[in-house]
Amino acid sequence: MNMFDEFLSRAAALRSEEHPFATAVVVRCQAPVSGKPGDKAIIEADGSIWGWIGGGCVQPLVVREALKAIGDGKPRLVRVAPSQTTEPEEGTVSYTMTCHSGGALDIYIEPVLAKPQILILGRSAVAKSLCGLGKAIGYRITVMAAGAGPEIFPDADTTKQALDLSEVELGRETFIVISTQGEQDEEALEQACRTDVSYISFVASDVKSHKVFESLAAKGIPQERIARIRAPAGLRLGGLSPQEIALSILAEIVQVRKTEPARIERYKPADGKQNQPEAIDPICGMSVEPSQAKYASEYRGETYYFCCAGCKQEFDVHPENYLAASLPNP
Amino acid sequence: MTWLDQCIVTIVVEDFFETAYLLESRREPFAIATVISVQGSGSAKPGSKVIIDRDGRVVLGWVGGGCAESTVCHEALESMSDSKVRVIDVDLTDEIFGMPCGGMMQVAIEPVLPKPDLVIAGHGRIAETLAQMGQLLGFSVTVADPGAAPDDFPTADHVFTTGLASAEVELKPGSYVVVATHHKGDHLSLKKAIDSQAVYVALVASRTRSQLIFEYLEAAGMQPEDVAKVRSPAGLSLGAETPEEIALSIISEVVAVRRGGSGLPMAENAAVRQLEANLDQPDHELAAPTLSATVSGKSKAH
Repeated sequence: MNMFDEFLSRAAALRSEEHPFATAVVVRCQAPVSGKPGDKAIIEADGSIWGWIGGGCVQPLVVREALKAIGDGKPRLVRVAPSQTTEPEEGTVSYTMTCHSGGALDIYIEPVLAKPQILILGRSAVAKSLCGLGKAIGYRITVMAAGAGPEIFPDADTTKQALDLSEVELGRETFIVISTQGEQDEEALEQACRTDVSYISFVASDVKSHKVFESLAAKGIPQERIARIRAPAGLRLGGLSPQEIALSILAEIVQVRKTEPARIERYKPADGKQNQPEAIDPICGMSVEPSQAKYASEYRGETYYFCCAGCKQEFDVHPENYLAASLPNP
Repeated sequence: MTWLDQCIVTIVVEDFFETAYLLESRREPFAIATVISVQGSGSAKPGSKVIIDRDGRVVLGWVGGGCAESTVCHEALESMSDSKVRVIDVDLTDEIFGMPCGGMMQVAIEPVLPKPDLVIAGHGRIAETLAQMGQLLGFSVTVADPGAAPDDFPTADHVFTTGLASAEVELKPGSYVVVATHHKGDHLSLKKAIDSQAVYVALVASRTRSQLIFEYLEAAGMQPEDVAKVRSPAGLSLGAETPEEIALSIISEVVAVRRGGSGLPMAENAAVRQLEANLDQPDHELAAPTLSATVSGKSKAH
């Protein structure tokens, strides 16, 4: 299997498992560098990297930018060049490359995130419309209600015939819509309340939702849990038909997803790799992960880390010249 | 509908459902009035129906003569203009001409309005998703673009492979028009849309490009206030990023314009806020009655 085949098959496997990842592709290079245009890598949310995008100097910063891309959902172009003589370009993240090669690289990094999931509780007309509309914008749809089969919800990715949220995987990108309309309202709300998903809404009038909320409170469910439920669900589009109500709910979900601050933290690396303190190479200004740094020097009781042997050599000759540059990364 | 058409409908198709179906398939607005109860004596019985056309004339059926019919026809016109169902009381003792019947009846009036037109100039993912959602939301969908392949718009009612500006494409007043062409014809499409008295005209373009197009339109003699009606960027601000999400934000805006919605969250003034407010109150026992008192006063259904 060649690199490209393996790249594709790995990406396809991660995609089907709904694991978030980012792809990094070298799109331009200025020799001498070890990365060539077309070189590719896959970076997973835990910071692990597969593939080749150039040598040791480049890899940590590609991983760092890839994790940012997985976090904010936005692609970026990373430029690694010997010096920052040119003005920074819009849409480009620049890094200094000082390793001995002296070349430059442009790397395009793109996040591939799991589809957001809408979990619909209930089998009302609004539930059916929401299923079709949600599918049209490419979200993953799970419907859960007694009697909710694929024949009633042909557009759903998954249907579950019993109301049991422990049966579904709930992620940061799961949005729960309760559209039970009289069938197991309280059970659905109670189960949803106990989850930590960022969006729960209830398709009901103020009066109805107020009554149900009161009975949830009487059952001992904490108020702050109940208060997370949006009721009535959706944005005020003024429509009355099930289709229009479903649209207003989908619009609200997109708005919440795109504008709430929680978005940045959508994918936290599982082992906390991203949160490790970074050291700055005092010679070239690159960030270096202390745990992986191969080159380090002790000077006046402090440890300094370097991206490559060249930087270390330079430091070791006149360490006092570089101390100001080694302040921690703000 | 012409007078002759009406005669033909009345004479040939004496069946209620057939008449309703015929009018609907011709995309004619009409209203159905049904007597749902009668007190005292009246010439109509519960279940008596009439179909009233866009001019307020009875096309078919009987709900009583004279005043009863004119009241019903008047309300039918109202229902067609505000697109709301209503139930009216008709006092049959009010007859001015002829003998009053001495009864009362309730009549339910339901408007049947043709689907509004959603006209999309453009092709690609935004246009495709918009066409699909427009159909789901009850619009008659027309796509007009030289790059539009009918296969990409399986649910559209009409697909023209000419631009929107072409004479082949008819724009009825009251249409919802989205220009997402991204090519050189879009200023012409917009001009046609504004001239057609569309109720909603949106342009999917960058700020720079839309500025250029607006300048062209004003230079071409269009009134600045007409040009200012064009919505650009198109759509509610949902933070949409993907083409599908952009289409969603546009169709949401279309529905909000059609139905008079603000686009703000429904839950804004609702029970949730009350519960949130109550969190500040330390005593749960005290909080509960406050909650019911405040919320019961305002009921907002969708």
